[in-house]
This record gives sequence, structure tokens and C-alpha cells, in this order.
Amino acid sequence: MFWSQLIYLPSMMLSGMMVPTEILPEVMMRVARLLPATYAMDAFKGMAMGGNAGYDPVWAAVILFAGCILSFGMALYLFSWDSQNPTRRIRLLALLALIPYVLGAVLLPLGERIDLLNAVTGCL
Amino acid sequence: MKAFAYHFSFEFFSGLRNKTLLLMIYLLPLGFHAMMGLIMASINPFFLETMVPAMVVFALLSGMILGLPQPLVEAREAGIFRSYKINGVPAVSIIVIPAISAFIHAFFVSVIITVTGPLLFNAPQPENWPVYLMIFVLLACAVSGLGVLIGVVFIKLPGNRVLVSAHLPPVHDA
Repeated sequence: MFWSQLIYLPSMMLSGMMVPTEILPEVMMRVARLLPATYAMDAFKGMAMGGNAGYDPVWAAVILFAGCILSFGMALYLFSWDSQNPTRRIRLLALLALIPYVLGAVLLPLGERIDLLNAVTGCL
Repeated sequence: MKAFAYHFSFEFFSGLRNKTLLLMIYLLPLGFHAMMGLIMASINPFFLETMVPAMVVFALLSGMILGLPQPLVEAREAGIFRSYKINGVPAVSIIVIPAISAFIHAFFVSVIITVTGPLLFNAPQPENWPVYLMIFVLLACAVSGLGVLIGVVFIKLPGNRVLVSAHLPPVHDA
């Protein structure tokens, strides 16, 4: 589905799975913060793998937890038993599930940017 | 509770026979894990440092964001939820059970990734295992919630097309 791919594909490129988020432009680092995978990678790096997330990684865990609660809550609220007679609720309310990620994108500080080319050539 | 357990076991074991689910949750993440371990580790030296959690995140995304919505949409369109309502199945079960089932499948895949990453590709292991597990559970809950939400919000048009309707009644093609 289109909306599934809209979350999945940017997560692959921007969340830090393939390349560090620190090499992205500042705008793209903010956009990456709209994705749950970014917070997961930051939390893994900062709390489980002994790295540095650029901010207190506990906030990443808090955002993921809040996102979970809101997502399931909105799914329950907007659930309909039958597509022929769906519940009369505005389905755009589903976007409320993204509030924790939006707040994270706006409020959390960005990490220090690195130049990947220099970093890689320095390693070689 | 007994009905919940029966529903869950049916969902879990029928998922093992679902080719799409097996592709999204098992084949795609494990194949990607093997490919990335062989290719990316030599191209990008930074990749190896976070390879294990990155591939775990990938497994969760492919299993839950891609794998969860479609069965929910199809089940609703087929009238299965109407039968559930008639027989007193609560809406919470319909939302939570697919997520729990997908979580367990993703957990198996994540264990394979976590074990094989250091063994096959010399990726570093997590330093703090309880926290690693906690973050895995949090991400699984977050993305399964999004997957379920997408499955709940979307409707399926005739001709196998899917559309989200912001207002009712849903829009159908002429």
C-alpha cells in the first residue's frame, strides 16, 4: 500500500539503518525524525550498542512508547466492522498517531554532522 | 481469555501458511541481512557498527508496516469482521492479535539476525542486552501500531485498489 511504503522507504534511507543520519543535511535530519525507525536506531546506538545518539536516547524510547499508545488507541477508535457501513468518524484523525514523532522532530537537538567521505577516507 | 488464546493460536499458525507473510517477515529480512552483510560492510565501514540493530529494525518494518495492513483490509472487505461481531469477538482482539502474531514472527527473525550478524560478518554484539530487548519491544509495538492503524483506516475499492477515505460515505470509482 502507498501509505505503508511512505513510511517504509524513507525509513530505509533516512533513519540511520544504511548510512549514519549525521551525514544528512539538517533539513533531512529533521524529516528523518518523523519516522519511528530513526528513534529506534538512536536508542539502539545510544543505549544498547555503546555509541552516541546526539541527545538523551531515553527520549527516543519515550517517543516510541507514546507512538505505540497513540497508534493502537486511534486504531481502536477508528475501527469499523464493515466497509459498507463504516463508523462515522473522520479518518484523518489517524494522523494524530504521528504527534510524538513530530514533537521529536521539532524539539530534540540534532547530532553533530559528519562528512562521510572524509571519515571513510580517513579510515582507509 | 480462552477465546483470545484460541483466536491467537489460529492467527499465528495460519500465518505460517501464508506465503505473503512468510515472504515479508522471514525471507525478505533474512535475505536482505545476508546481502547487506556481504556488500555494505565493505562499502561503508560505519555500517558494521550498527548492522545488527539496523537489520532488526528492517525486519520489524517489513513485517509490520508492509505485512500487517493488507490482511486487515482484506478480512474486513471479505466480511470476516461482520462474522466476528455477530459472534461477540471484541474489536480489541481483532486489532491486537495480528500485531502479537507478527511480533512473535519478527522476534524469531531478530534472534537469527542478532546471532548470525556477529558470527558471519563480525558485527559487534549489543553491549546491554536487557536494554536492547526493551528497545526491540518498543519499536515492535510502535510499528505494529502504525501497521494496524493503516489497515484500519484504509478501504479497498473494486478492482483491487485501496483508498483512504477521510469522510463518509467512501468514494467509489464509477
